[in-house]
Amino acid sequence: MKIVVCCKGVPGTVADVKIAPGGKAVQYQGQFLTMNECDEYALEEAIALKRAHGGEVTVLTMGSITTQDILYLALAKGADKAIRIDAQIQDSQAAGTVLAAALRKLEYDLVLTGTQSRDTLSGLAGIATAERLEMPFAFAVTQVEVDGDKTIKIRKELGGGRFADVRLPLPALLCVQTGIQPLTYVPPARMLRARQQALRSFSLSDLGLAEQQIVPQGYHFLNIFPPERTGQAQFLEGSAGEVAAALLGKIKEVL
Amino acid sequence: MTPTREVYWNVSAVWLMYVLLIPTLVIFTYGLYRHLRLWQLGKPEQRCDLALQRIKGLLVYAFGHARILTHRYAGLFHILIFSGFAVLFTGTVVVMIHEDLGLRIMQGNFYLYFQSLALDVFGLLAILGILMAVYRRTVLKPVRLENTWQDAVIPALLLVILLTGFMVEGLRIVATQDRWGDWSPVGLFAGKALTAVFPAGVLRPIHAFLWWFHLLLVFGLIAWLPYSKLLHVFTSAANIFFRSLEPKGAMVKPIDIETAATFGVKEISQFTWKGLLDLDACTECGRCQDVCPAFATDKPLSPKSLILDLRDYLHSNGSRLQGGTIAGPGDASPLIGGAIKEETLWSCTTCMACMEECPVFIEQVPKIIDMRRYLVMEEGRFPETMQQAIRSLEARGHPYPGVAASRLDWCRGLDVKILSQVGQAEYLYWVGCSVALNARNQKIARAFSRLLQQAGVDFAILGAEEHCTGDPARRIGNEYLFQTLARQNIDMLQSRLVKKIVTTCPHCFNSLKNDYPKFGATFEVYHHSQFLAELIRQGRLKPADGLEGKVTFHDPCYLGRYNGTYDEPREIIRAIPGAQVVEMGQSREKSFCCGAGGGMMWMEEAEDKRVNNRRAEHAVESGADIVGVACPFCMTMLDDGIKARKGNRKIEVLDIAEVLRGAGDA
Repeated sequence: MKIVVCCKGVPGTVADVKIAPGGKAVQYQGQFLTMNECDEYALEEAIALKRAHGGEVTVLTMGSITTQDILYLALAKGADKAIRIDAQIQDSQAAGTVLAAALRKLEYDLVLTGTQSRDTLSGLAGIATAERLEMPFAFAVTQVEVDGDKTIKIRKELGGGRFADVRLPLPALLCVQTGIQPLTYVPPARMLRARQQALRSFSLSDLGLAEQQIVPQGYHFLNIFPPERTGQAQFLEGSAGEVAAALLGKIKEVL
Repeated sequence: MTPTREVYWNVSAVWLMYVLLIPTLVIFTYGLYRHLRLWQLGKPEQRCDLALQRIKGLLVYAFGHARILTHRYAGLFHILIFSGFAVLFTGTVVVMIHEDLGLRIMQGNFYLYFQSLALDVFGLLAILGILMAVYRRTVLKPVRLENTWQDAVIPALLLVILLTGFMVEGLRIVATQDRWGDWSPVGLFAGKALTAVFPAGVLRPIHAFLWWFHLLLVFGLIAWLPYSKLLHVFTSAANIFFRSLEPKGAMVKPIDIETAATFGVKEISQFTWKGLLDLDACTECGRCQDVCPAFATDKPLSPKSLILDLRDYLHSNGSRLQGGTIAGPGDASPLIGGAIKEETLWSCTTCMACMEECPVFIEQVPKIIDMRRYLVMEEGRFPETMQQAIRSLEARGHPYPGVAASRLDWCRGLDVKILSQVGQAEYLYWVGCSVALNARNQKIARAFSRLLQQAGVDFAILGAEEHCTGDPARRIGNEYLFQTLARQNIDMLQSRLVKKIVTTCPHCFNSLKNDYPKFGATFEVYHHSQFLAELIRQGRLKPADGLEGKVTFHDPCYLGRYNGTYDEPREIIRAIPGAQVVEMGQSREKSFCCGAGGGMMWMEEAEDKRVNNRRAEHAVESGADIVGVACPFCMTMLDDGIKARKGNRKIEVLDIAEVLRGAGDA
């Protein structure tokens, strides 16, 4: 099975995120981007599927050269190929357009990604990509079962703690839920060996896209705010028993 | 007539002795050679520099017994046996020079005072020493000693050698009516006793028999020595000579990431030759085990067993590693996970108590870190909670997953300067993640900053530009991450033109002071206890009244044993009117770790055997009202330990800066 995983590079710490002058965009300060955690679960699932059924995992990301590190991380975890689309796009729907264009150039049976990214929290890029490719998709997937060449069986979350089993025709796109697989720690030795591997890159023109096609359509930031600190946290002191008693008291107050 | 004696009185066929000497020396040399070959399996390491300092160490610690004597009873009998045999061996060399080389030195006053009197006295002292040793092993029985058959055979053999020596001497004195016999009082006594028991006619044959018997035992001892525990007379001395001359804080060696083919120690031959010599230098005295906080709290680690397990592995795998065949089925078992359990490696707090205690300077902690390096850097196999800390370090530059505090939270309303904004300051105050990001420990930074402001010190902090020094990564075994963080920090500090640094965390202090110079850093680094003590000495800080009571000080490992700073924190407490220093049973060099070092901050311990609870108990037992600490890790651990206590007596845990500032005034 050929699997493509879409992974986003996001800032490692909130301290690295600044609001641009004018208050209409978010700026990343740090030099280092880390792999968006939701997407890392998608990568772990892809590698687990490859281990169980064979095949090939390609990891795809978008961004400047600073996103390369997450591609090396993916290779170190066990991905076979890594591709970077050289474009910087904050709008999720526009990102979907670009990712879809790149996927058209690749062979795949299954596309995996996370549910949302830590920085924009729009939860759209995966869905937009599937929509552009007119491909079936499922959101909040907690289990993937390969049950034939043409279809896949998945379990997904519904509201209220319910789940549903769903069968989809292949190729399909899945936005996987966090926790679908445990995150593995990548030892530095493997990371260093991964850095020796070659990465592919696509420019927008390689994908046959023009700048005006990827401008956000009808979605504009008016103002971005910093978080407000409320300082409501209270630390309970004492032995385990005392803390438990105090905590129980607090809960009773509220109930 | 010149005082002397006939060397081979009543002995015929002396040539036989020379013939027997040949196999003795062959067996002895082969035994040593076999060990030498095993040590050669190790990787190269420079340990021959600074020869004068090394010779001095040999005199002080081997001949002078400096560390052995810190345990009085064991030290005393060891020096009795050691000096006894050293003098007797010298006496034998004198005979050799006198008889075989023909240089007639064994005569006159030298014969009387040294060869007769001194040899007798030291021989008697050696007997006394052996009896003391046997008494300790059979009656006193310290837990850390395990008796093997060698522990019975060796003292028995030495005792018989000494006694037969005196008998031979005494019989000769009596039979020849030696006019200088009074100079050998012990021998004379033995001779008279034998004369009283045996008829005169058999004394000469008994003498001849005992002479040969004594000789055979001595030759046997020499031949057996490299195969027995007595090998330590060579290996321990060599180990002291080749000991690390680095401060304890700098004993972990950097890996050259660019050139290393693999990381850490997976196979025993990946230790250095000195690392392997360590294994054969161990005398099994168990002092390391006695002071190990992990062992004391029932963790699967004893520094002594670690070294002995490595030694046994080296001995049984030696031929395989030298390219020979596998001798037995158990031989090819892996080192890590086999001879050394992974849980053992994840029990060490890197507190250095074992290395401070070891009389022969064995280096246990760097070995543990080398094996951790393999597990972490090659296999990615280490405790889950530590993995979270490492992931957080990689992504966020601090080891506290889930913490959202900013590095500036603690200084709100304090008018503390930020270096990137003011451009320059005489001192950089390096706050450290564990102080800046922990609600309780933020008070340490507040107290210390106010003291600096009070003393008029020109200082600034880095704020958001500060990242972990990498100490937890290095001690957990992720040398790659440590070096990445170290290089980033050094670049940033240099770009900010930082020259002098003061920090409230001994782990940061040790990294900045001992780890960073290997990567090109040249900062002047102070721990805040040193800095505050100096401000008091200069009269720039005048401790006010207000603190009445007894204060005990818990020495942080990375300040005390790692960097030898013990006095300054106590100086600060003593400078406060009304405060009185009381010591815990284990303090200064013998301080008992809080349980957090070496990445153990991020390990969950079973509730009934936590190191910090044990230490909190020590603090309460000292009778103090306040336990002073000088490390944010110790603060968290002791605070938790005191809170978890069942008894009524609660005592306050305060950083040394808070003690000085007056508690509650931060």
